[in-house]
Amino acid sequence: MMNEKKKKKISGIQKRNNLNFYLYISPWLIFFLVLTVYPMIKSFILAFTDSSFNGQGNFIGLENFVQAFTMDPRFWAAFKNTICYVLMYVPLSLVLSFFLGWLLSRNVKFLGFWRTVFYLPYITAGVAVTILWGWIFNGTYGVINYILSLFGIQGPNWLGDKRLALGCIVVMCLWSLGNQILIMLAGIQDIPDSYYESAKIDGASTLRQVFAITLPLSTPTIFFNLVIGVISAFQLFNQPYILTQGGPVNSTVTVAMLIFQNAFQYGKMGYASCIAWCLFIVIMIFTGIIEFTQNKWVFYDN
Amino acid sequence: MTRVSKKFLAVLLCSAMLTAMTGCGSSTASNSGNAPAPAADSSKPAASSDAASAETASSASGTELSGNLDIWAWGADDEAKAREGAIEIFISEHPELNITYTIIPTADSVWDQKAAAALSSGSAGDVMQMSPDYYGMNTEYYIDLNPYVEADGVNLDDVLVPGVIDGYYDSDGKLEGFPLLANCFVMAYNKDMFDAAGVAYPEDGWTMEDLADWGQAFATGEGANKTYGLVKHWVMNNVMVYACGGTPYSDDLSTSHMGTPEIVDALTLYKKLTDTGVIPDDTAQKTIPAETLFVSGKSAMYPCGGFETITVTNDADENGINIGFCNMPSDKNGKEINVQYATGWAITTTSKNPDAGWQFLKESAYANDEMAKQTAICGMPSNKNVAENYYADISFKGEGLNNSYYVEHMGSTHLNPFGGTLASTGNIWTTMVEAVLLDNQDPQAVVDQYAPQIEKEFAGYSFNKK
Repeated sequence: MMNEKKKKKISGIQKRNNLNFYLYISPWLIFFLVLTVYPMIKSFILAFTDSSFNGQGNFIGLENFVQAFTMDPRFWAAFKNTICYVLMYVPLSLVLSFFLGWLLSRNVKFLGFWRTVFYLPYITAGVAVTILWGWIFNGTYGVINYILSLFGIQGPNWLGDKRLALGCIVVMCLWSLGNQILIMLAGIQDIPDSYYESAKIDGASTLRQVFAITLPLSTPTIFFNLVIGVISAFQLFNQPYILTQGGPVNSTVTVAMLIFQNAFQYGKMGYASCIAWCLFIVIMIFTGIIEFTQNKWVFYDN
Repeated sequence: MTRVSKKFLAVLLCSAMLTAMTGCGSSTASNSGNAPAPAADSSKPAASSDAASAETASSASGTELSGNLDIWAWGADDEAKAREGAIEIFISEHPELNITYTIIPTADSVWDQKAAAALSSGSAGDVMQMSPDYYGMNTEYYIDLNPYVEADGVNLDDVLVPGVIDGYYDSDGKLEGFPLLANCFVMAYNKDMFDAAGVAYPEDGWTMEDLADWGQAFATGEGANKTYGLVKHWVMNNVMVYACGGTPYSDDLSTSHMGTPEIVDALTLYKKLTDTGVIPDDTAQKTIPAETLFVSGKSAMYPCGGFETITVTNDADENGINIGFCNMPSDKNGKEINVQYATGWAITTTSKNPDAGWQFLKESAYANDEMAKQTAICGMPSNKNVAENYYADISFKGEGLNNSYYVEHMGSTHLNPFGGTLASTGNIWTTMVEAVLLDNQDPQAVVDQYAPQIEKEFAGYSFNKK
């Protein structure tokens, strides 16, 4: 009898806990369903329609996908540029953020100042920063070409040359790595000092310590930065939109820009949804590959 | 915290979230009953609206106005001041309405993004600024204004500047917006630079080919000291379409003309102008505003829009630059190439107070002279009386320019050829220009490559599918 009563009581507590759980999680859940799941379902449906601005249109089967893959040269240009950007930006951002994070974890003078300096670009208004970089890269009046001219070198038309424009955007984006550096710094500081002390006793040099201790034990942080970096890099929009508008000759047009243009400038909601789903699939593939390979290179303490 | 208070807190949080989401979501209070339906017959736009719509509009004009009215406008500097001034006059004259308004800058695509998001989510204002060559036509965001016009019984030819309303009718006769102002261009030139270079001032009828010849006298200096004959104003890509006698498409918008030899000639000429330094290449102008180049004495000529004449002339005066004015260039056939940018208002289909919206549109367009005088700060108001008797008399620093130039030239302009629905064609044209000017591709090859793409775009436009 006592056991049954206890069971009933427990199940009552369990029920209340469950109820509380759903009650507390419901604000997030509602937002998730309304602002993420619903738009995804809606855009998936739209991808098979010829919907215009108002989101109404006829079912056209795979026509949008056929058009994207066979008739729209900007579609391929956008994917090529975006993947090039990801392949340039992500590795460089990981190397730089690890290096700077490591430097900032050292006992250097004015450490607080340096940490602030490296984080500042991240919190600076994106549009202002982009315009500033536009000036820096300006072929006629820009500071880079001015410095080059002091050495008798005529600098190129950085943003007007289709071979250089995307690289300029990569450099610009690398400037505001503050957040990644901060995450990397936190990861590095989490490594127990005892490892370094043991290594010192064994006579390991600083460089050896970095490659034998810091780098392997930072791999969970690097993994996190890698996944987040790849996803955000695939969504590149602001910098090319403000600085080059996709030019010259579509060399900096990105998939996110193409989606925006088709949806909001041309009113092709159906086609824009189709491109968005293609982007989603590509991001999933890249993320899946990273997830799949993590067992081989990410070292967790346990 | 007790269990009850925790639950209360959770319920409160949920309610707050839901309320917040309601604010984010679309305005679902459908106004279809108030929104007049589109006219069906393009030849008789006003007469073809359905009876219910006309009835609504009729009752609107005879009913006391009340309720809220939310107005969204774009603009910065003088344009924002003009917009604000006009709206404030309307507010002061309509205490029966609770009017709110927002003026959003157009720089960095702020307006584009906010307006597009709001319109597509149904949370835009009752009245939105629009343009026949910008966000607007064929979007189905806006109600048909024909029934209101019909109900008011005003002959628009008597009250509006000729031609300013034409662009607001879409191909099936629906009147999607109502005019506020229009602007075209005058060519301003730096007399000091012309004198120093020993070049005669340009006379009306000059062509871009002439410029390729005498403009080279201004292409001197290096780096920051470089000077040019003509700035690469954002209107120049559109001007160049017509420079060698070409046209972008047929008058009925059914056929693209972007594959013609005239377009090849235009690209070739454009290339020549930039290669010889008469017009700065893209890099020189990527970050330096065209106006800055002109008013700082680095360019001999500047296509000055009616919306910026005060600023340009004042800045030039402050910098001690003597400026003169002449017509925009002519094409091979002797026709002046001038481009019109028009601005108006529209009432959204989600508006809860379209009657008040119509009152605002009407007064902005022709029925309130004081509002039109405010508008005249940054362009030619559509209000015929004010345009002819007030705006035209405003003169500027520099030699011999007053606004009568814009009033007289407006009738012979091309409406911005690549605005609004045609933006995708405009983007391809921009790519063509970049391919020739920046990537040194052969103009004929560029036309061969991109003209078929433009033809495909044309075939896909909604008005060509109807």
